[in-house]
Amino acid sequence: MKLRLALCATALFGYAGTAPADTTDSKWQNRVVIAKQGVHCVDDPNCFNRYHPDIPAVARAKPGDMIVFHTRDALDSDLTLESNSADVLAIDLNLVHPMTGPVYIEGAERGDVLAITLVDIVPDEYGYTVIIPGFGFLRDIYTEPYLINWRLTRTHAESDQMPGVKVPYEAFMGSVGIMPGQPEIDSWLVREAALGAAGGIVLLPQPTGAQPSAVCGPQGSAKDQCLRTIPPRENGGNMDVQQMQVGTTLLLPCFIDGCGLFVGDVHYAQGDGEVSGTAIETGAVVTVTTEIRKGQGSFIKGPEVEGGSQIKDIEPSKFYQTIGLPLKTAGEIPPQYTYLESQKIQNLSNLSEDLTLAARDALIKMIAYIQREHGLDAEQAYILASVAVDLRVGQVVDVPNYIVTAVLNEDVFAE
Amino acid sequence: MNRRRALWLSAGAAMVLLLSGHTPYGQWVVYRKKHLLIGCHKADPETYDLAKRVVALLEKHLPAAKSRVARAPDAGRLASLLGTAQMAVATLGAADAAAMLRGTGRFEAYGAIALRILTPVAGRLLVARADFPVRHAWLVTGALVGTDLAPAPKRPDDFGIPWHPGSLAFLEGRPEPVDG
Repeated sequence: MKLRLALCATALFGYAGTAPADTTDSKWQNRVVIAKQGVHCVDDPNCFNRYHPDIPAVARAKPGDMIVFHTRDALDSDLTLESNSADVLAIDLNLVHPMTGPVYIEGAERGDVLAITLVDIVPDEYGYTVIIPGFGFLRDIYTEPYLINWRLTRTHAESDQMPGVKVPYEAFMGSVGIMPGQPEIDSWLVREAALGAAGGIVLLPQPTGAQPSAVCGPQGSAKDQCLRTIPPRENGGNMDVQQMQVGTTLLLPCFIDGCGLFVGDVHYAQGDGEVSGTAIETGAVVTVTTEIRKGQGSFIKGPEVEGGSQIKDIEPSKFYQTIGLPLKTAGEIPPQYTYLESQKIQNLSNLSEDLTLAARDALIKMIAYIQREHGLDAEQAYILASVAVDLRVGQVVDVPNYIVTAVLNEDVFAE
Repeated sequence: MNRRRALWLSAGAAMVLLLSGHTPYGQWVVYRKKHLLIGCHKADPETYDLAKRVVALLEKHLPAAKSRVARAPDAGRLASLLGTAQMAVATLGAADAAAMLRGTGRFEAYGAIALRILTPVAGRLLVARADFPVRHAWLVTGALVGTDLAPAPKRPDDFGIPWHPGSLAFLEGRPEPVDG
């Protein structure tokens, strides 16, 4: 009898201790986790903030693996829910952007295309949107530092500084890319130097604050060649394209063997344009999978995206739209027109075939609408436009007045 | 006309700070040319209160400085900003300022940073980069010395940090420099 009881007990309880109790323990994914270490990028061997092919891979993954990147916010900041505009003025812009990786994709070679499918983004609980003086689309109008602190969940973002507003969770990788090869480094440095010589805005290599310091720092082996992360290029990087939602696939040409995949700078939500210069910026845990498309680098020369209904899913159910024309006040030179002898436009009040000026016109009208109809102040409205207004091209044929529109997602205003 | 009034008038022209800067954003430099940032850091909360008081006094006595508080998370970030000319002036504890000057201890990674004293302020030091213009140092020191924040215009020698020549000029009663 005792033996039978013991057998029953084993059957009922013993088995439960050694085999799956439910679906949780049944696994099939091969996960490669690139975890954060330390407080900032400088403390983290899995983090870098410049681009160069000599930056060593920190992990290897096979196509199809679930690659999990623990990412930092765009500014590698110390901002918190208690931060204010005084903290914005002490941000060290040499630390932009901390990226997690790079990851060597086994089997990928220069000339291939890497297809990167976004599987999931788990945001941190805190995010921020800032106006950084001298940065942003209307930097001549909004000249003081400003900060909105957001509380984040997987459904929406809220802020005590933006009462009555709920911004839906529509996260994407603000920065995602692969490492450039030496030919790309050489070519891009030349073209950017030429642009700088013409008066354009160019961010040259900056060893101070650069990571990894052994390659890109003041004593680094390639300190004069490590590219800044601010401009997006053919290797992807800081593209800030909100349609790259979960489920979409980004295609990038590989420039080095193993590609050197990296991820960072997650945007919890952003309008097309990211007009204030920042979205809802946050750290996150990002999961992607990859596929190698052999030889497709011969015709895919830069980032392209495959997607489905995601492009509809982020559309508003209710909107307000302003129509922008390439008009300005005579005597005014907007900041985007300060090179290539563009002072010639100063006395004009109408420019020809100019999308930038049309976008500016649409955005200024939209900010006025938000202030007028929703009671926000000018800085709040500019920030809201950065996270919930889409700048869109209306037409590029009706000369001289091309049209850009600004579309406000009215769903953000809670009942 | 009292001395503070004279200060205010002498600074009537825009107080443009000639920080060349290593900042990646050219436009960002524009803001730092227009505004005198007073650095402080969260790890020493007293420096934040002091920086706000400094800004309030500068707003009153030297409005052309258009000063603003810039709060870093810790003294290391201030060292990075000061060392790369992204910031020129900060409130610091004397020990931190001396260590930054020497590039020792927790500031070793930033190298030696040439700092100069503008004036002691309520238990801390208001310091500036050595290349902070002489005239601006004279004006800032003049705006603060004699207030409750810096009541005694003395020259203590025990900080181990040199004084800024513009500040010394003010304390020694020399006229406002014409350059810088």
